[in-house]
This record gives sequence, C-alpha cells and structure tokens, in this order.
Amino acid sequence: MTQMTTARPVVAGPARAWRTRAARYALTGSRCRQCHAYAFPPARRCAQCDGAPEPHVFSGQGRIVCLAEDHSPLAGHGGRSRRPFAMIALKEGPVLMAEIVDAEYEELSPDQDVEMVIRKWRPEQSGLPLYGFKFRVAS
Amino acid sequence: MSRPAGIIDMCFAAPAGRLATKDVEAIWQSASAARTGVRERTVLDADADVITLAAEAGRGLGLLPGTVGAVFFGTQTSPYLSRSAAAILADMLGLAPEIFATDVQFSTKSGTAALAQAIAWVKAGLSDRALVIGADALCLHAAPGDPLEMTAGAGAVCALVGTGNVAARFEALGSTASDLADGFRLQGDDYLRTGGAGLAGSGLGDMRHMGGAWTALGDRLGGDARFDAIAVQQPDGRAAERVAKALKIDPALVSGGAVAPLLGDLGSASPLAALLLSLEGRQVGERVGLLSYGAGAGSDAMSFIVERPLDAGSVRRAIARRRLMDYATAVRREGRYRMHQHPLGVFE
Repeated sequence: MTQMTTARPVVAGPARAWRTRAARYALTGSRCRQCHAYAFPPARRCAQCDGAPEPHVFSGQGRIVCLAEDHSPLAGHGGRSRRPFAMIALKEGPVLMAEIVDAEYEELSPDQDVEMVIRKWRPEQSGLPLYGFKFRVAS
Repeated sequence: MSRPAGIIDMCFAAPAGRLATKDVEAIWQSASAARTGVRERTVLDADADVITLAAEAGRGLGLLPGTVGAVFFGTQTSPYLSRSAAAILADMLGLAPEIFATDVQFSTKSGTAALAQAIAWVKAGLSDRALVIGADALCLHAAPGDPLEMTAGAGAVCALVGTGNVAARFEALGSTASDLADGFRLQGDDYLRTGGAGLAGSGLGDMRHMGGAWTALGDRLGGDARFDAIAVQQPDGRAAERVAKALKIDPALVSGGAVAPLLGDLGSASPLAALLLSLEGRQVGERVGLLSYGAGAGSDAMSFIVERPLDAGSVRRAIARRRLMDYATAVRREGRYRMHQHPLGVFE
C-alpha cells in the first residue's frame, strides 16, 4: 500500500507540544521566590538574582507595546493574507509576542488594553491543532 | 437523601464574526431569510473551534485549580471523533489532571444533557462542584445552499454546578427521547441533514418531545407550579414563539432569553445562553424553566429556583463584539471548501 506523503514540515513534536502546554494554555510563567521578579516563558533561574523561581499563572491582561503585521500565509488560518502581531506587556511585567485576533492591523495602536484568548496556533506534526494563547482588545 | 444542588455561575462566549442572513439568501435564493427571524449569525474564525469557545467561556468563570471535580462537555460538533474535548478543556482551564472528564452528545440538547448529568453528579456527592459546557459550531457543518446555512452559528456556555452558594437551585427534571430521524450527521459526512419537511416540519420531533418533557416536569412539580421565565432552545429566531404557542405558555415568559435573532443557532449553547439571560435581574424565590431539544430526538425540561440573580454581561459583551463580513469571507474563515490541508508555498 502506498503511503500518503505531504509537503508538511516538522513544526513541533508531540513531546514538545505536551511539555509546553501549561505556558500555551494558561500563560504559566515563573516568579522568583527571593526577589519576586516575573518571567515568561518560565525561567529555570531568576535573571535578576539567580534565585529559584516557582510556577506562576499570569492574569492574561496586558497592553500593546508595539505592532507588526505578518504577511506570510500560515496553514490553518483561513487563507488570511495578513495578520496583526504585537509585543504585549503583561500586567505583571513580562513582555511577549502574540497574534491579535478579532481586529485588523489598522484598528490597533500601542497602549491598547488586551486580554488573552485560546486559539489554534498551527497543526502539530500529527495533524492535531496546537492550541495556544493569542490576544484580543479587552472588552 | 441527595444533597440540594444548582448553578453557581455561568459565562458565555461567541465568535466576533457575523454574517447577515440576507447575504446568504442573495447567494443561494433557496430560502427566506426573513422567515428565520435571524438577522445575523455568528461566523467561526479559522483558528477557533468548540474547545477554544468553551475555554473562553470557562476562563470567564475564574476557576481555581482543585475546586472542580468533574467536566461534562456537551457538544455535537467536537473536532475529534474519539479524543476527549473535556480533557483538553480541563487542561486549558488548569483543572487537570485530578478530575473526571467526559464528552456528552445528544444533538443540540448536549448542553442540557451535560447539565442534568452534572447536577446528578454533585447531588450524589461524587464531588462538590462540576463544570458543564454546552458548545456547538453548527456553522462548520451546514451545507452550502442548505437553509441551515443561514442560521447555523457558534457559541459556548460554561456553567459551574455545585452544592453551595448556588444562584439557581435545581428543582426537577422531565425528559423525553425516542427514535426519530429528523436531523443527523453520518460519520464521514461533513454536513448536518434534516429529515425533510415530513419529519422536521411535522412537530413529531420538536413539539412532541418538548411537550412531553414539559408535561413530565409539570407533573413532578405539581399542578400549580408557575414560572417567571422560561429559557427555550432557539434553532431560529421564531422557535421560542412557536414552542410557547404549541405548549400554551405565555410568550412573554420566553422572550427574555432571545439569542438567535442576533447570533443564530448556537446549538447546544442555545438553551443555556437563554437560561443565563433569564436568570439575570430575577428576584429571589422566582422559578425559571429550561426547555431544550435535540434532533434524533429528545428534550430536557428543568426548573430552577432563583437564590441570587446572575450577571449576563458575558452575553452582552459577545453580542457587542461584532465584526460583519460578506459571504465569501465567511466561507473562507469557516473553511467550508475542501482544500489542501498543507498547500505548497504556505508557511507552517
């Protein structure tokens, strides 16, 4: 029997997808037990004092720092030719990059408040959707 | 003796995309948009499904790890045929791994079926709290040109059920079910089908089963039970009115839970969204009814006594978060053409 082949490159193995799910699903980062500095993604050692961090679930509330627009069509995104991305400063401090949904690039601006939602990022190696955080303008 | 139980809190989520029913009518000229009573229906984004909708509603409840003992995920449009959507959601909401999780399926009454099971679960003392989801993305399974395409939307409701601090205390349940092929989706078929006018339009399914469940509920409550509001399944914008007429219910009692005219058919989320709206602004001691219908066919009727009104702000926010789009954009977003999964030249 002929095996089906596709032009699908390896994007994330199932082990990596499983290992990173807490960060993708709930913005689980870390907080230093000594100096209370936050980090996202979670840090093994605190970047400020080299202390030992503990897991911390961020609120998902944040603010747009700056914006960019991705013009590379990504599989599984309904043929959208361009999607807005932003650097987002979480309320607790760490800054991360994420896609902004339910808005076009022209409607967004720095300093807008945003909130986290869970959406599909891309297909895993097996074809399953890889879910993760995106953001939208806060209601 | 089982413990008193009820709904502690509820939260609603729906996609921002909207498609005007008159646009669908203009493309296919197959049915009357005005007759549906639905002005606009929700359009699901390409990066969303019932699990992401349920996660959005669930996050609105602000659940703490270790406080919920079970998840009952009611949907007929799970992206998986065998994998548990409830288990994925439990992990997304930080409730895993020490939790009982299961998917519940009975057409568009999957949400109320999940609610009935969760109430039985907490009343039996298996855990103090359980999470119920009623979610559907019917828009992904409406055939182009089918009348369902005009009304089929997407939405999710999460309800936290428990034994303490309840907002709506469960009182009684009446249910009906029998074999009737008035709506179904076969394995391997992308599209929902109705049994045609002979079955779907005859009332043998919806009116007969809903009437039976409502009578059974009335018998359990006693003859003099009066309702202050009733949340009814809304496959279209006029369904609640039709049910009220058939069951001789005051139409004013069902009008407060209207979601279909602005969001379309939310499937399993429909009766629960109507319930959330019906529980807002209620007086303590008032009685609120819930009446669902699932093709195939079956109906659940439940009654609740208000102990504290709920805030339906999540429904209003979802309605306000509206992005109108044309038919072509909606079809592309929902991926309703069979396309290459991984076309060359596309980044992954």
